[in-house]
Amino acid sequence: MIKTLIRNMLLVNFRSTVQSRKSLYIRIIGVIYFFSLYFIFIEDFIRFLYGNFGGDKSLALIMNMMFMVSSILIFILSFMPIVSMFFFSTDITSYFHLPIKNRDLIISKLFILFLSEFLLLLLLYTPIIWYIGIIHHPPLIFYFVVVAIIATIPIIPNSINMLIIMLGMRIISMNKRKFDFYKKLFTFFVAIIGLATTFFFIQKYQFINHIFEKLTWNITDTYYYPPSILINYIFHHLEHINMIMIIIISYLVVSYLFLYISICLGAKIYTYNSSTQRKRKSHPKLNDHSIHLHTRKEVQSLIIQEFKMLFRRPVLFIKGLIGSILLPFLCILVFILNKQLEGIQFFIENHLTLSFILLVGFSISTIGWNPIAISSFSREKNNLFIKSVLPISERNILLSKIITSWVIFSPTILLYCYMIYEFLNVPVVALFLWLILSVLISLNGVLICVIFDIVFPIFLWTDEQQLFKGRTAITSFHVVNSLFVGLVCLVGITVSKYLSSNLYFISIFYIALLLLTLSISIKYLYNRCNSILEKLIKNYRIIK
Amino acid sequence: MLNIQGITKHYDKMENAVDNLTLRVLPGEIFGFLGPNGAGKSTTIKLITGMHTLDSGTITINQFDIKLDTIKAKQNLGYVPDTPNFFLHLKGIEYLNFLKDVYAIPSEKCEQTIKTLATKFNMLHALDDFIQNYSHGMRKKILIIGSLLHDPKVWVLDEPLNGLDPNAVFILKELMREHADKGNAVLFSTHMLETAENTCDKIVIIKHGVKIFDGVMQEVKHKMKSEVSLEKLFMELTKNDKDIN
Repeated sequence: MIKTLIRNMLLVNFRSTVQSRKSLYIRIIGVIYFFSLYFIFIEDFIRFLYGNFGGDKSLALIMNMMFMVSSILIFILSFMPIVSMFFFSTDITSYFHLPIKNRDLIISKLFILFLSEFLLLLLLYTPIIWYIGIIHHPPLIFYFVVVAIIATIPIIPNSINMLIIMLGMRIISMNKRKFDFYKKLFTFFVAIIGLATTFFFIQKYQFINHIFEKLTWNITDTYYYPPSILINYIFHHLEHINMIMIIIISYLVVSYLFLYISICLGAKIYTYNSSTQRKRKSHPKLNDHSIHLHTRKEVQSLIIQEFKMLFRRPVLFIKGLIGSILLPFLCILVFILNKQLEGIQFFIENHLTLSFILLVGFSISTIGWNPIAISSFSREKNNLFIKSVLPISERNILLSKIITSWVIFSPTILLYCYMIYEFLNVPVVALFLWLILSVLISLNGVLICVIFDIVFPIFLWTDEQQLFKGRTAITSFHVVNSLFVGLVCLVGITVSKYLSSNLYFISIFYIALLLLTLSISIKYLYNRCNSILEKLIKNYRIIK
Repeated sequence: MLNIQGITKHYDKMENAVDNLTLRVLPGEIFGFLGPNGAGKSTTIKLITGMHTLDSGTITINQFDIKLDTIKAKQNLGYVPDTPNFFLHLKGIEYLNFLKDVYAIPSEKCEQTIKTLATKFNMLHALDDFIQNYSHGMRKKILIIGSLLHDPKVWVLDEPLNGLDPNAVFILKELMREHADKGNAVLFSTHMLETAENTCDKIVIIKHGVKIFDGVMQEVKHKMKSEVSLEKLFMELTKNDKDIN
């Protein structure tokens, strides 16, 4: 039974993740791309630690940090998915009328969760293990032990979460509406704690070295963490091999025993009540005389409808909001707390053109892509069918989407302007040029994102949540965007090196480049707007 | 009023979903569009509404070509889709207000129409709620109300009776008759042969995208009295070739 369940769940998960062969390829390319970047980053990180702390201490620090961070993150981040998985997922109802034991269902669901977390951890740990292999040449058994430890990391945090949730759900009667509310509250608190921690570190420690010194003090001394034991295994494996193996095996045995007990307990206490699914409230009463209609122009009405769609889909909106408004706020706070500001200002004064180019690159990576625009058509799903029947021109539909996405990003541009003016001490002309460029960059970003959404409608977003999780479209767009940022910076640096390093020249060059991209994008969109809706309707099939 | 002339549509490399179909719906007529599953009914309706582009042939709505005069043609069209999951994040009244703006309907007239239709369908109480909180039938009702706001010359309904309660079915049939009697054309697809028998002035049966029967209901009824029921006629016409062999 468990095998059948797992096979079925894997198939459903795989097919919902990979909608087509094309989307599979792009996801693979995306993973390889980001994994390569991470690989390079880890190499630098390890070299930095080796330079500062030496061999075994650095390794212990990295491994223990990874172990601690991954355990804590899994504990925090898997809480809501487990609630959803056992109580609110759409597939759960389809299992409950079948003769399946609670225990089998729990094992299968946990297996899927563990598998996805294991694959993620494996990706995170692989570069570290790779460098350990290159530097220390540990015996072959080391790799098997490390994989076993990685596979065991998700067990205890997830089991604890599962038991807390199952017990909690027996006590609290929670429907889908309440769950959605708590989920938002939970996300908000996690974000606040994350921000508070970041600020604490920024305020407390001026140099990264200090942070690592502090961490080395605390983390390398935790001798009984499995990674510490492993590191000992690398350096002193000939002396304490038996003792080390016993400790590691004990860790594995304790974890799996804990899992077994959790499954047995979970099977006893797990109850699913379909009435906890979304409950319909009674309709708010509308007075016979209270029908108030407004009269607006077509485009105006379309824009208002776009805004309503955005604000009433908080997950999507929060994603856009975090991307746009929170980041400049974060930058401003970092500048307020950073005591190295004078150094940065000095660098800018001496390298104005280079700073300007880097600032443009930063702008493209932040406001030059737009999560609201990238999902402008996808999030409509069924609504497209109705819109295509209404006497609305495709141009107006496009215009409303472009304006909506652009307007949302305007406070961000102003916030960045304030940040540059207040902290970076740049000349007013440079600030003005950057403002013009930002307006163009954000419009360009909106257009590119809309085109992306139209050209690749194959990347279906069957659920808005998936946008938040970062699906194929977002992954592939990030790849394209990061390459675009690199290219723009490279072109700017090349121009400044070989043509002119004058700030005005570089700015005019960028403005011309952006105007060119804008005109091409607009021309492309307007030329194709007749076939846009039909193409999208073909791909976004009606969701029943 | 609605003139379909030799239309053809195929998807990718598959055989024609609609093959050289010609229909004419005159003012004052209710036209029943019948056929087995996958016969091409919904594709034809999507071609009429402009959702799909034609491979060949022409469709005119109140003399406006859907391909050449798209916006004007759509202004004369009211459409009720088979699946009612649209604009779920809007309130019922907001959806109707949106349609009012799109069709540029005067406020007073629109208010009056909404009140009349919402009262008929017992939807007045729910207009201020989000469409996502509506039941399947209520969603369908709000779409029906929306499709009639601008008093369209051609009213196209794709399987409108599915999911409606008996009261709503009765009201919808009455509305279709009233709308046709005002000199407009009504075309609807259905699998309910009894409803088609009672409501339609004309019926057409299609199979594999090809018209296999086209007749005035009076004639069909006359024929049925002496020979077969509409159900039997439908079964006979849509029987699989394999079965016949």
